[in-house]
Amino acid sequence: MLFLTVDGRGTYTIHGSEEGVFRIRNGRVDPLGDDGAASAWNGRSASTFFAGLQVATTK
Amino acid sequence: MLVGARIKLTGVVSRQATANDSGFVSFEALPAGRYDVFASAKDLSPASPHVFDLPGSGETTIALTLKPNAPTARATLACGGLDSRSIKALGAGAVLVIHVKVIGQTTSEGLSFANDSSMDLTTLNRVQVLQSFKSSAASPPPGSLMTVHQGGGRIDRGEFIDHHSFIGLGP
Repeated sequence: MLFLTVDGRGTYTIHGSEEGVFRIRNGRVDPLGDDGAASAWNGRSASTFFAGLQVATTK
Repeated sequence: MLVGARIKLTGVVSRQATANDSGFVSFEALPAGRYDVFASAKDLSPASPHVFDLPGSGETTIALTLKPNAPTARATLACGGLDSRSIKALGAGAVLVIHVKVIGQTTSEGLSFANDSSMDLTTLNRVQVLQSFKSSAASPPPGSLMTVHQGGGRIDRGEFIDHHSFIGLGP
């Protein structure tokens, strides 16, 4: 899972650094970062994470 | 592989071992699934994590190469202004929130992010979109291909590995 920003030239980069990257490994969340959201989601199920994202990204 | 190299496997289960006199390590009775394998040895640059999917039966062989570090290494710290307390906060600050599969990575060298005369490494990740969250007109549909830039990376210069630490996104 990537949280991305884009610059004026249309180049997509990762939001923040490690904080914007959450890997999915064997059905579990494996964040690249280690604090905040990363800490909260580390090791939790991917399906729960996706459901949380649906809610979190819906205005 | 080098005798005495340390091999660490993480995934469904985690294992680690030291290469034998022939430079080999064998892990047996591993459950099927996705694994990262890391190799390291004294005075050598650690190998990039190698990701592989282990099938339910059979044998998978992976060859890893370790080389010395470049005489100097670079590190860039990315910080400031980011609210990462929650996925809602991260999502609010992001243009796109996408579930992707990384299908390829290349690292190239260009002018420094600091706009001085030094050179920085940039890694381009070719990704396939599996799902888009944060729906907008710019959201890529499932199946589309994108390139995501990240600062840093590793370049194999033949005799040694040139390493610029910025962010460690792997496949």
